[in-house]
Amino acid sequence: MSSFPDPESFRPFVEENFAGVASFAWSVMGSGLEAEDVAQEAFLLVYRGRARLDPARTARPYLYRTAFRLCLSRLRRQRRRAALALLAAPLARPASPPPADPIDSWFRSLSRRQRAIAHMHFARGLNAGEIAEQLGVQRVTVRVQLKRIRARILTASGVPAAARRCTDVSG
Amino acid sequence: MFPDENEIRRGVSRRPVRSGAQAWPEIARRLQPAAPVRRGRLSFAAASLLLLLAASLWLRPAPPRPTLRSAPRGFLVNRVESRGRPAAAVVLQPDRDTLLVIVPE
Repeated sequence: MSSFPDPESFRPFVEENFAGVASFAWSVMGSGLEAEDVAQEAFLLVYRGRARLDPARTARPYLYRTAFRLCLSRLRRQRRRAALALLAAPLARPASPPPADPIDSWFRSLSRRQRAIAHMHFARGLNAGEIAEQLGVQRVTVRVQLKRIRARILTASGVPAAARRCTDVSG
Repeated sequence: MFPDENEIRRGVSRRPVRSGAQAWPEIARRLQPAAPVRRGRLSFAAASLLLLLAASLWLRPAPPRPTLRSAPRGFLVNRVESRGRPAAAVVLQPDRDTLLVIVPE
């Protein structure tokens, strides 16, 4: 028995999760330009792979993992395109980018995996175990990354090192 | 710049993303399988094009082969090439130091 036997049965799942996945893609990509596109593609891939889903469990972890992989793939493509553009016109002056949102800039300052973990922790309120399940990584990896992300925030806001050591980040 | 955790939460929640209900029509359209008639027409057009291409290759005349020609004064021309000069040109070498190129009008 498939989780979503027809497109109409897929609708509540889309309505419940679309905004969350688009926002997640926005965080990982570091901008909102392709976020909704990535979200749409992730839903299509989940629907096409519905035969592999366990009907007894929610498809949300699979959806977020798929969206994360799509984001990574698009970021790689963007980097290749930028390198090619540089090769094609090395002396051309690059167009000035639009002023960045401080939250987007902050996400871009993290590694890609940290962006996904930070979004899930701060925006969705998930703990390390839940994030590990949704991203398909080790729980200890999520804990370590969360610790680093929190340390960066605390360092920048001027919290002394002793106070930082007392902060629990394991979730 | 490092915002604090509350700023991150607020910033993420303020992002102008569409709701699932707004996005659903577009996703539903992409979930529908492609119309079979349209796919059939596309395959037919592709097959016809391929057939036409194969037929034109098959019926193309063979390129003319180089022939031996004799010059009017008895020189034997043993090689005629068409690369780099008019195809009908004739090259003669009566002796080691002479090379004649005859191009017809």
